[in-house]
Amino acid sequence: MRLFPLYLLLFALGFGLVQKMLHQVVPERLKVEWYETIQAEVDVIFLGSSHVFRQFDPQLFDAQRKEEGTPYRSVNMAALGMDVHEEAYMLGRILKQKAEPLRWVIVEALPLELDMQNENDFGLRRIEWHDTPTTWRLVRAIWQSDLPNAEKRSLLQRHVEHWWRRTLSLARGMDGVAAFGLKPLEYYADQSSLGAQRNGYVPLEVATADQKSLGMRQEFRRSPQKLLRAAEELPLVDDGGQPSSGQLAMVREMEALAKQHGVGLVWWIHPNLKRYSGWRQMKANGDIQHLIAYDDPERYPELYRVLAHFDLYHLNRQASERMTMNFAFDFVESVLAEEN
Amino acid sequence: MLFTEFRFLAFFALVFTVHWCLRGPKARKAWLLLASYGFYAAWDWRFLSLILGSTLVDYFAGLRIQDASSDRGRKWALRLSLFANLGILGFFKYCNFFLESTANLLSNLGFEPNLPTLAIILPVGVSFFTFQTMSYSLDIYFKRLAPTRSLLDLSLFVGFFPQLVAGPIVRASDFLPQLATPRKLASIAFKPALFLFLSGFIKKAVISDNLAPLVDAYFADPSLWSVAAAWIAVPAYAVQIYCDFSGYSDMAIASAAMLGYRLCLNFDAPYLAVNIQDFWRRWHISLSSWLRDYLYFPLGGNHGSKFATYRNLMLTMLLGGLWHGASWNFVLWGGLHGLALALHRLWHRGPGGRLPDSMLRRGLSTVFTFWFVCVCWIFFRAPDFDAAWTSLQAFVLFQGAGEQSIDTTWLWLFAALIFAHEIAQRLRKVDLLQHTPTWLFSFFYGILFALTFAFMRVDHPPFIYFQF
Repeated sequence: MRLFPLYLLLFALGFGLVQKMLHQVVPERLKVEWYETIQAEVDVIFLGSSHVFRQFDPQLFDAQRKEEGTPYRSVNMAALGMDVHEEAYMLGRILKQKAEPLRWVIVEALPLELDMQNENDFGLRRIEWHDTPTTWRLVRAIWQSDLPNAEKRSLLQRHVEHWWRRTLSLARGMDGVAAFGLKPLEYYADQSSLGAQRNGYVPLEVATADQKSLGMRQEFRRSPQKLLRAAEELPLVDDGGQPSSGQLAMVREMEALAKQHGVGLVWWIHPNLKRYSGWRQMKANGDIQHLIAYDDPERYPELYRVLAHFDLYHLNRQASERMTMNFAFDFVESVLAEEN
Repeated sequence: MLFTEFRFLAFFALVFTVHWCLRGPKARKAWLLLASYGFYAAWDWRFLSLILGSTLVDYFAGLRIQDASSDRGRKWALRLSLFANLGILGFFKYCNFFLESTANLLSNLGFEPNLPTLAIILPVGVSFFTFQTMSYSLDIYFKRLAPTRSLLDLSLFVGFFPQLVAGPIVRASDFLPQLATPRKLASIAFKPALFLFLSGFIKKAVISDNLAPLVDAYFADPSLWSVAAAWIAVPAYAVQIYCDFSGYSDMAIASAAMLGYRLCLNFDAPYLAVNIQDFWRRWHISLSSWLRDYLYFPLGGNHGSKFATYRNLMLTMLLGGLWHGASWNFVLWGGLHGLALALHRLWHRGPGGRLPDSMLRRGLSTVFTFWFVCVCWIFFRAPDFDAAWTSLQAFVLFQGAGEQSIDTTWLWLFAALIFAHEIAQRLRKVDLLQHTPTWLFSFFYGILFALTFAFMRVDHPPFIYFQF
């Protein structure tokens, strides 16, 4: 028993050695690895969920900017199901090794979710973004929320468990074996994709859609009126007023981090069917500098037409390309003009 | 709370530390009982009443069987125990099954039954703890055991958390004497116990859980897959269920050992069995020996006519199948094993018994036994008879409808791991482990533990046998 602390130490040493080795061997997610190879050419990065991954074509965005003679390019670093926490994590990850030309990060403005829906869908990525700063920020947001205590406890437990899983490199071994030439089991495969144009954009088409997307499309085609009804009701729904303290803290931290690295954040709101609270208020209060919002059917009726949609929540390829062009125009007209 | 979750590791560390810090056997047992009830309540505290009720009934029934002056009194006390335990099992596990089967039968006969279906939740581990308590009363009735006067001891025997929810099904004659003697920390072989825990952890969390998506995908619609895929998926399920269940048993035995208690062996390299009888001596040993002692032997065993022996075999295996789950699939699975046991008995007592023993014969027998066990697993795993029939056509008749195939790279790795584990277990190198310097053991244990975590799945799928 006297030697028990020594044995515990040796156990920790063995455990730590493997952890260290795994951190060396396990590859970054595909898009981060790819970005690191081209970062010297990139000045704009897109971050967000499928709304960005499936709808922002960097090639079109760059073509529009080329007219102004910018020599750099943009890349789409979004991924299916990316939430605001993962966006914050990715921003930190990208800025950690910031290359000189990077000037703008376009971030999808999303609600601050404290819960994790469909926990297993993006399991490995969810574990990855539960690093200490992101988890700590989330823990504070949960603590400060108005949720009942039992729900707070349950959420805290789940997020801390994810943090533990990250700390212990849970399931990362499957990624690690790829380094030895062994293909990981299919369900561990990286869910991000660079797309046919090798710029991180994968348009939503029947040929490239997964089963879930095809199901959503079928449902949309059965009752497209849902879209029209939601669009009609949308202008009546206000912005939700003040942001929550957790949302505000997170956004301020992201803004400060970006500023510290000489990068500007542009928040973009997808043509949603409901308004996410707080964003317009944060812009009015000066918490965020740039906001480009498309969730306005009166101003952007073309984004709320049935023929423009692949499913209820996503635009089809043609509409996405038009939206990218619009965004490039707005970016140049409002963001760059404001900066200058 | 699953053995592979972090919270179990934290829970066990707490239970272990407090257990060995407490002085006096009574305090330790009370602490273990409290921890066990807490462990069960983490699933659903309401069903603790079932464990408490079952314990109390058997406590008083056991004393009554012992103290009754007449044989009639003893029988009544035994009937009370059996009625209570089989009542719990029957209501929670089989009620809807019998209602549905009766409704189907009546509608086939042309009636229009309007039988209700009850919304019953199956309490975790109900099949295990009811069998355990029944064996207590039966052993007292058959005068193989004296009842305990300590309610604390009996409660701990029924509720001991390592084996509470999925066995091994412990016999009172094995466990109660251990509770009567104070446990000593110094007498525990920690290294073999820790190694057993880790090997169970690997079997469940790394092998079984990683095979599950592949097997699930196949059995969701077997008609999509090729014959080759069936020949991979069906044995993969055999490996999955073995690693799942024996992994749990290993962790249960190891946890109990670290608290000073010995649980019986539940698996002994079953897929290396040379025939089906040998398989049942190695697979879920605590259940097969329970069925043998409390069902097959009381039915007459092999002491009656030939017909009676085969009837007893079939009945035992059919009920053994039904024990696993309230579905005709399980009954058929049990029936197939019963039939195989009967045929093996016929063969062994006939021409088979006269054949010379050889390595080749044993090897071929092992392969054939494994193949047959796999065939039976199809009925165990398939969601319905249609899926079972499609899988069977591919696996037995080489008729596959679909074209989807399975990547086998990882399967070879898992197979190698299992094979290495089985061989290591056969060689029983426990002494070697015990004599390994503790500093070296601690270091390598850390390495293996970290690797296990690295290859675990993100979520924690429950143990397959929890549903039984």
